[in-house]
Amino acid sequence: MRIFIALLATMFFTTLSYGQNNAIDKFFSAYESNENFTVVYVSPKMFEMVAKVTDDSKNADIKDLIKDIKGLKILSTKKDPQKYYTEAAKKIPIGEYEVLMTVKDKGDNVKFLTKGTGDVIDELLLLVGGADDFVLMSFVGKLDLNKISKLANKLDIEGSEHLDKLKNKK
Amino acid sequence: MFNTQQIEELLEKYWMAETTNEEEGQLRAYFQSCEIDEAHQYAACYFTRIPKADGVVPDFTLNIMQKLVEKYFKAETTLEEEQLLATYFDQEQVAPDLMQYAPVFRSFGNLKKISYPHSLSLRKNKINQDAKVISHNWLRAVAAAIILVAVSVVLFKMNVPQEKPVIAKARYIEIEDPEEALAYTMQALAMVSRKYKKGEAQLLHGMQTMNDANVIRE
Repeated sequence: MRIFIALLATMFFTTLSYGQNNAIDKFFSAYESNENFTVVYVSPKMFEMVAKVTDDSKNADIKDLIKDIKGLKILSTKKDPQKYYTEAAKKIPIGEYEVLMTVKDKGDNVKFLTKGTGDVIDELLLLVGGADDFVLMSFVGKLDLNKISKLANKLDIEGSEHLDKLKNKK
Repeated sequence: MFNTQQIEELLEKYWMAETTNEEEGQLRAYFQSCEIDEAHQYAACYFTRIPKADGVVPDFTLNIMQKLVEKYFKAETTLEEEQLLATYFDQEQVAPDLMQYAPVFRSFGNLKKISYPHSLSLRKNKINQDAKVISHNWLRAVAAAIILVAVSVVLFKMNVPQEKPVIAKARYIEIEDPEEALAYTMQALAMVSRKYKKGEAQLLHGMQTMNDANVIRE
């Protein structure tokens, strides 16, 4: 009898934790089945490769930042951005995420949500609801927001340069 | 009250098994009264209820017994007569003619003697206890198995929709080039940092406003 109970408990908790891991995936999949959205996904394996590719001398700061990122998912749409923003804000599992800050920036509503404790966070969720687009971003991994904010300009420039380079290649 | 002579005649008839019900009634009344002639005392046991303990062995005459048996099967016997029959069949010397009825009358007496050799208490009885334990274990096992199956079915059903691959209707881009991944990541981070800085600035601005307000008040 005890064995049965133990077995049941194990099964129960296994599925419980399994379910928790999937909460954000479930949240994303709700939008992935919507044809108005574009989803960009960078897998953990890809991040390992990115770490190898990054030029050490030039982008030491950026490399330092990226090395701890395990995954990135970007969901965006140009249709009904405000509607999706409100909807997504409601759908976020409140028990798991903490609202870091809400920003109003020239008609853009921005929400920062985090998972984890202190300055270093395990997951960062960014919700942007503007007049033209709605963006939902999820970074998984150890992130330091202070470092990110310091590198703002550099990231902006480098990122754009990289994209331009890629576009020229194609 | 009772004519001794008449009783004598009636008894004579009774022994010959020729009495009518009426006459037997008379006899019964006589023997139940207190004026029994000593000469008739021997026959009292046929007409009155005999206390078991007094050890009187009645005179069992075949004729009478036969008649009593017949009466018994017609369901006309009195309680006294039935007791008499029981006494008769209980003793050893039963007439061969009546032997066939013996089981009927004996059985009633014997039934009382029958007792269950084992204790009926469930707790004290070892065999029963074992049986109980086994059946309990079985019940537990069956119940546990049912719960297990039910829970697994529920959990399985809960998990199935999650495990199903999402039919991606959205434009789904999984980046497979590290350079591109880096570019996207940096852009995304840039956006985060821009918004974050904006947030910080707004926060500072808000605090500044509050400070100013406090200064004015002071």
